[in-house]
Amino acid sequence: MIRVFAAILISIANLLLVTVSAFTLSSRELEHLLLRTGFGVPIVETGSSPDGRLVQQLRPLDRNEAVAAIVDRAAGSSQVDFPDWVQQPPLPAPQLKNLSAAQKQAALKAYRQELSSRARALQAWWMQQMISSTTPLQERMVLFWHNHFTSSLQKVRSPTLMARQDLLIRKYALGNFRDFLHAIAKDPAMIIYLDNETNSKGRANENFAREVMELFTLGEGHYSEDDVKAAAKAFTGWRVDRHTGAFRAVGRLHDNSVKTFLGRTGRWNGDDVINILLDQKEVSLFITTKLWESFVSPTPDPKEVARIAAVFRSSGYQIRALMEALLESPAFWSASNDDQIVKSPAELLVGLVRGLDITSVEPAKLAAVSARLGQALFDPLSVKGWPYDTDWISSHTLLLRNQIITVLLRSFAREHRDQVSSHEVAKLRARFLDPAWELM
Amino acid sequence: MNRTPVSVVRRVLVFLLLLLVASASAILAQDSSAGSPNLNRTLILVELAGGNDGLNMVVPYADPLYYADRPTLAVSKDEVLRLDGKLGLNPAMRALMDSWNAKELAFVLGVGYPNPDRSHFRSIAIWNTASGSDRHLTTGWIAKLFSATAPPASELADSIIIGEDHAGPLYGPRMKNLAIDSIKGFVTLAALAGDPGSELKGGVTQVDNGALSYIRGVESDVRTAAATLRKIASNAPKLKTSFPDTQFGRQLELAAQLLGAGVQVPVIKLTLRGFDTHGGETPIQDRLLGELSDALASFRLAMIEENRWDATAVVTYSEFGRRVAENGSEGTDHGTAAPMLVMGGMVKGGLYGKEPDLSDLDHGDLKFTVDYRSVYQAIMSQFWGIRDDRVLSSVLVGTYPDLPIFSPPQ
Repeated sequence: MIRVFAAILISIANLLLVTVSAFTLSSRELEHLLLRTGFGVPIVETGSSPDGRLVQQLRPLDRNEAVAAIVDRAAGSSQVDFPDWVQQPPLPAPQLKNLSAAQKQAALKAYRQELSSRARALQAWWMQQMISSTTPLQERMVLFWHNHFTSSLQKVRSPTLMARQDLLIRKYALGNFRDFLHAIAKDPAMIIYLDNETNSKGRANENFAREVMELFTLGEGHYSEDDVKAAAKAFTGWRVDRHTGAFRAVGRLHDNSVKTFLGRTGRWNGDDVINILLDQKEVSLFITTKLWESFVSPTPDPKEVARIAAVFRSSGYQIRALMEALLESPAFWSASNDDQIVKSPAELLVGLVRGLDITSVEPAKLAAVSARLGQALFDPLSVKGWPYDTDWISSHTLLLRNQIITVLLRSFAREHRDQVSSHEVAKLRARFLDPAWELM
Repeated sequence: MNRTPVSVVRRVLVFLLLLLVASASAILAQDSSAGSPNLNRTLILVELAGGNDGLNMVVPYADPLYYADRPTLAVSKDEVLRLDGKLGLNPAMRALMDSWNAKELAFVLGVGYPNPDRSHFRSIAIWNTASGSDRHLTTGWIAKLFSATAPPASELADSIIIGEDHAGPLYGPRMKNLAIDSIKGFVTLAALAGDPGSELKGGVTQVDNGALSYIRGVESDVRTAAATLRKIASNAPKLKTSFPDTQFGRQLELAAQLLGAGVQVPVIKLTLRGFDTHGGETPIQDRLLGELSDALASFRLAMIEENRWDATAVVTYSEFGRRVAENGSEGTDHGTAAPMLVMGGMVKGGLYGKEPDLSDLDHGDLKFTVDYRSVYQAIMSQFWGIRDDRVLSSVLVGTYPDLPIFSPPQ
């Protein structure tokens, strides 16, 4: 009797749940969804913001339909054209033979200047891409993966290779994680960034081997120092061709000895090591946890993470399946997770520029401001990526954030002189300078 | 001459007696300098970012190998400012010779760590966190220290960062770091953060959570600091000492102004960038070392004038030194060990550690002779008087021998 009663109660509850999720999005939910999967909703109605059209599209949908629509849209991404040098071979280092000291210095100076002007152009390109993209989730995923599979302009010293890595990240951002990991291990910028260039038979460099486990797949505590050494040997000989900038495996530098890696013994090469890594359950938990921290809250719920990680594994590592499960989860929609994560500088700046439909501020300038606030695009501070959450805020950056908010509002007021009153601008200013605006 | 067994025994006895006296007085000396931790003393940390070429800063001018390895870059024997029979200072650092002669300037030679990493980012992270090259830590060593031994409550901050806003050794969850370029700029910008009690305006719903209360906390620190700085700007007398008109000179002048105005802060961090000299090294490094030395010389005079020199120490560090042999473009590539400069009223001037042997290199790089954590150990135990071994070993992730660089003020 009690059992029957319980069963009836459960089915009523289920019915209610289905009905609830079948409701069209409330404006709070719509705002939340676009803030977390993009750069927010339009702050003022100007008619030409890309987010305005997105809002129109999502408004009649329920939660799961809206998530599906956003993910669908991101999978077919839009793109601003790269600077034209990206298609050409990397800038060759200057030939210094037979030059006088003064000539050498001049040649090196010209080379460095060209590199740094390309680096700035690439950073501005990314900023523009985030500002004008019609697929904001794709941009948030790209930002996430650049912060996960870190490389930096400063270390790689090749804007061309960094741009090519960006293309790779864009291709796999919502694709298959197995293919993604194999591709990133052979990505020339990554090979330079994590010193695989000096990883040779008999003289191993363990940098990539360690980071591929510690930061890319397993997290600390799931491998031993012997695993690091074995993996380093497996990746020996993976190089970058300095002329074309393409990946190549150099046989004579490869250590073909028998290695034992995570309990398995064989003549493993780099691909084998990656396949063995992907057999570990921890990979799905590690990636799900990290995506949770970016999209849901700084405090992942282990049970929910395990559930979503299982979806990720059974999909054969489809990032898209993971993201749908994450964005459909009750925790994502819970009001208690509102205003939990500090916006990164890029998220703050792009959110204001898109939300206020500001067009008069150069993307290069915004990229420079983002760098001053701690988020230099294509240049994370360390292999662990940019700061996260409250680490973004110091007395210095908080003051700078307030300053740039004021500057952007001034541009907005100038551009939209006819539509907004000074009273409205003052109200916006108070809203943006409140600490809550730093959160999402 | 043959020695009789008796005289040998006597010699041994005398030696043992001397040893006993020596160690007893050493213990006494240590006790008198121990006392309680004194975090009212201010450490000025100067990061020489990019990898400073130590061999061209403290030059082994008597070693022919140095001249053989550096046909175009070597500093000539006639130009160096001799520190002893083997080592001399780069002439660009002439301004520091007053403090050297006053025995307030020390160089710790051959400083590095095992399995050196040649990546700028990785290596400075190692120095910042007092970790080995096999560990990735995030909390800075000063932040670790202050979470174990709280610095005295200050209305301004636990530490001040002047110029580049990279907390580095000061990075940690509970650190109250004040980043500032100029007093005026800070006060002007801080006006944007509103007045105390304005928190709730703006009509945004207040949610009680960690991130929000953290930001409100920083906002309130900014307001308090701005109020203090405003007072300093209007009340504090101008420094009599003039500083060189360089960026680093102005930054050290700001540090001197704050200390001169009576600000109590255990650490001030500054950065001098540009030492990554892969090509055309000499003019670049000379300019930077000159900028550093001129500013430090003024800083010393200003601190003496303000009566703060005995409670102040300057320490420089860099992520690594550079390769011994010069490269093909009159520069040097990333290397390993290098000297650290230590200067202050409590510093026992001179040379510490051991200059690395140029005939015994590891793939073209110097073998370090002093672990950098020994210098951190000396700063904590002698300069700040922190003697709790648990605190010291938790900060340094292990124990390191002390270098007797500091003596208590008279």
